Amino acid sequence: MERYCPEDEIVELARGRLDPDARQAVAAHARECRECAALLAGEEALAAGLRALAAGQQAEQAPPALEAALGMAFRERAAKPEPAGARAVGRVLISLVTWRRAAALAAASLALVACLLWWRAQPAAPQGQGVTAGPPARPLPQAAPQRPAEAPPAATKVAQARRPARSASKRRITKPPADEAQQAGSESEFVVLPGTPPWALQDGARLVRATMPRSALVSFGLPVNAERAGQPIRVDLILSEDGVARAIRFAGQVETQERRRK
Amino acid sequence: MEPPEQSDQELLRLMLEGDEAAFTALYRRRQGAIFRFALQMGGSRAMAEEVTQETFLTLIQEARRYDPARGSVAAYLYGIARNQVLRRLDSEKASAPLEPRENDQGAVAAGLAAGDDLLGSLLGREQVERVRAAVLALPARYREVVVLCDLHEIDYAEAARALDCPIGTVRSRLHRGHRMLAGKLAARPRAGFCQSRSLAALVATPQAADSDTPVEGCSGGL
Repeated sequence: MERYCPEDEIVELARGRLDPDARQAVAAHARECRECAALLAGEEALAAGLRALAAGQQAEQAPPALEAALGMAFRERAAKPEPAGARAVGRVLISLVTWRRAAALAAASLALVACLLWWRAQPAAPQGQGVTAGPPARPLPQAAPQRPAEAPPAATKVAQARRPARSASKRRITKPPADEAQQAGSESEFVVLPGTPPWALQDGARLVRATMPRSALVSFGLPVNAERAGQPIRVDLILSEDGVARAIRFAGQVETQERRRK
Repeated sequence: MEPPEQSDQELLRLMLEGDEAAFTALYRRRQGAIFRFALQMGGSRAMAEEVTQETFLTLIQEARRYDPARGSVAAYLYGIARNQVLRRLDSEKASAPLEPRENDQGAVAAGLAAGDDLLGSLLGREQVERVRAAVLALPARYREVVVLCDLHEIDYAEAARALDCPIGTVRSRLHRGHRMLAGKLAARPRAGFCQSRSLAALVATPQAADSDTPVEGCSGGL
C-alpha cells in the first residue's frame, strides 16, 4: 500500500506552526520515512537560515528624520484637508519632489562653486560683489505660485533621489530672465529652480544678492550667450531655510572696471 | 501603572480625528516592519526609505479607506508597502541585486553581533548573506510571501489580506518559494552536490558544506 507523506505538514512542522498533536504525528512519520526525514531536515535548515536573516535585520529602522517629516505632513494635512479632486495631483507632486530636490541641490551646489571660484579669481572686484547674505532688503516676491493646496508635505525632505533631473525650462512658471532683459539691465522675474517644492518658498526663505559669471547660469538650466559667458552678472537668489537656492532672477549688469573705462 | 497600549485601530481612529500623537504612536509601532519589508523585498536601503515614506503618506491621506473588515491595520500597511515596492521594481525593471550592499551587509553583521543571537552565531555571517541573496533572487510573488510569512512571521490569513489573494495561494506560493530557496541554497559551485547535505550545512559547519563526500542514501534533492 502506498504511504501518504504529509509534505505540507512537514513544512509547517519545520516552521513551528503545527499544533502539538499534529506535530507529534508528523514527527513520528518523518522518523520512519526517509524521504520525509530529508525534507524535514532541509526545511528545518531553511527555517533556521530565515530566522537568522530576520534576526540580523531586526534592528533595521527608517531614519529618524522621517518621523519628523511625516509629522509635518500630518499637520499640513490636518490643517487643510485636500479636496478629493486634488489628491491625485498631490500624490504626483509628492512622488516627483524626491528627485527634484536632488536636482535642485546639484544645480545650487554647482552654481555656488562656480560663483565662489569666479569671485576668488577677481583681483579687483568692485564693491558689492560676492554673496551678500542677510536680512532681505524688501519683502520676498511671490516666486512660486504653485497651488499651496497641492503642496507636497515636508516629509519628502528625507527622501533619496536617484532619478535624472529635468531641464529648468519645464519648471518655469514665470517669465525667464531672457538675454534681452540682461542686456537692458533690468530686473527679471524669478524663475523657480528645478526640484523646488512649494514649502521651500514659504517658511524661512530669504533673499540673497550675488554676483556670478554668466556661465554659472548654465548650472541652473538657464540659457547663456556664449559670447558673453565670462561677464559677471548680478542675481537675486531665494534660499530656502536649509540654504538651498530655490529661485533666481537677473538683477542687473555688474559694472566692471573694464566697462567703466569704456 | 502604565496605561494599556492602544490598538492600531484605536490609534487610527484618533489619527483620523487629527490626533498627531496617535499617528506618531502608530508610526513608531509599524515603521520598522514596513522598512524591513521594503528592504527585504528590494534589497536597497534607499528604496526602503522611500517606500516607508510613501506608505505612511498614503496612510495620512487615505486612512479613511481602511476597512477593518478586510484585515488589520498592519496588513493594510503591508499592502500599501507591497504595492509601492512592486511599482518601483517594475519601473526600474531591475531585479534586486544579489550581491549584498556594503551598508546592508554591515547592518546584518552588526545585528548579529549586537543581538547575541545563537542562530546567527551558528550560521555565521556568510550563510546569512547567502540566505538573504537567495530570498532577493526569488521572483517577487514568491519573495513577498516568504518575507511576510517567514521573516515577519505573520500568519497566512494576514498575508493573504496584505497581498489581496486567497490563503491557499499564500500557502502554495510559500511552499513553492521554499523549494526555490532550497534549490538556490543548494546550488553550490560543485555540481552534483546533494541538496539536503548542502542545506544541512547551513546549520552545521561551513567546512561540511564544502565537502565533496556525498551523503549516504541521499536520493538527491528535496
